[in-house]
Amino acid sequence: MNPYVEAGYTAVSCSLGGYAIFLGVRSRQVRLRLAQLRASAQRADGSLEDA
Amino acid sequence: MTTTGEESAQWKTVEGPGRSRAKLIRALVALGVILAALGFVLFKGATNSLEYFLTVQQANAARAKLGDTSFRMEGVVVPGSVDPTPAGVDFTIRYNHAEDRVTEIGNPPELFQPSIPVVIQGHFQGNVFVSSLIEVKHSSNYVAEHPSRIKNAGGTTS
Amino acid sequence: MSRNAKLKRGVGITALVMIALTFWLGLYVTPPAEVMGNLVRMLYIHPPMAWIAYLAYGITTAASLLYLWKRTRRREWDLIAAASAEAGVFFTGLTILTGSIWGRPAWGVWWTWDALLTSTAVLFLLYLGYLALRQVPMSETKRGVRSAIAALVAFIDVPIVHESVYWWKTLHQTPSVLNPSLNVEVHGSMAWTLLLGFVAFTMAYVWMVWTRYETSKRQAELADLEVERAIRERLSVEEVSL
Repeated sequence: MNPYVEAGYTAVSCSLGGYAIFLGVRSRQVRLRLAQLRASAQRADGSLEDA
Repeated sequence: MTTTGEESAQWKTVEGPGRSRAKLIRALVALGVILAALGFVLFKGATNSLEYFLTVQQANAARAKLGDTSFRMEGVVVPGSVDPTPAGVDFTIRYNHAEDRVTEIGNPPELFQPSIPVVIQGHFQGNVFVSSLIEVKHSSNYVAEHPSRIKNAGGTTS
Repeated sequence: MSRNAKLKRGVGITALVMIALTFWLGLYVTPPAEVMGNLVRMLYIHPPMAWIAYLAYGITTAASLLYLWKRTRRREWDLIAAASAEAGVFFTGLTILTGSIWGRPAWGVWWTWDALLTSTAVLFLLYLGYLALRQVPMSETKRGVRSAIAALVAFIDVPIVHESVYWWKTLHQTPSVLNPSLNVEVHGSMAWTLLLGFVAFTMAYVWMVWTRYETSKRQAELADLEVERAIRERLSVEEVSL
């Protein structure tokens, strides 16, 4: 295969893969943090009601 | 009200003016760099792309005015005119019946061949256009190659 | 898993499978072309990148208009505009990269300042500027309005890029598919592979924008919650010290 064609396909695969992983990881981080914060907000609400 | 160190460490810091100022500076620096790059690209575009090339006809008509200034010229490589030289390649370029002899100094690109449209960069020296760069201008048409068709065209099928 | 998440995963997997299929057809099944030889294989990746960049900026423009119009103003439009612009910048970058890799063997140069290439570089920088503008700290509505106006201004360059090959003399050829007569100048299996490439990368774009949008929506919610939490903690500390 032509080396330029190989380089082109490799560049596209790596960029798409890299960006997708970056998006996936960040999405997961934010999701977890949000779940954590929501849980603690609920706990706080609960404790306020108890008091 | 007094707070112990332990308490304040537990406090969630909401973005204060300090952090936001650092962010502002970062964003403004990024914007500045982008604007500078934009200026550079627009300048290169204004000096190159508005008149990217002259056709052989136009170049021949403006020959006296062009003198030995460097410019780009478009035409088709005349079949049978290509002579490889130690420095590069000599060939004739044609556009609508207007022709010029070209001396290219340097390696022509991979797709350089007879009958292909090219844009060459260089200047006239007497009757010859001395080119330092050949760019191949390929068409937007894509057809599968037929090895047999090329053979048949020359009538040399064996 | 919610229905939305399942659907999004489906889009992602479909994109992946279709891209793999495009690569297989593009690299091994389709024939070499006349003149271009094996270099024609760049055709299956380069034009789709450019098409998606146009699409992405189109979506950014539509979402920005919806945000600017007060009756439809919602945080969501602003976030969609941003997510799509980010994907657009990504695909414009890939358009330039794959074009450059194709240009070196086919034209003989990595880069040249012809009208199409120059206006594409301008497009890349304009939307990069849009993304940088979004990073400038300001209130949400102010940022939304300012970046929406910037998006509308940047979009002016999209038709310039597309028409540049007709308006000026360029080294770049005219489009093989998106030309005025919509006459596809790609033949046989090469045309089908190119079409598949368009669809495959469009799916990837949809997945990207969807994921990015969800993340920024959650980030906005997170910021709201953190402010609330800080206030609550502050209040409870004051209660204790009283």
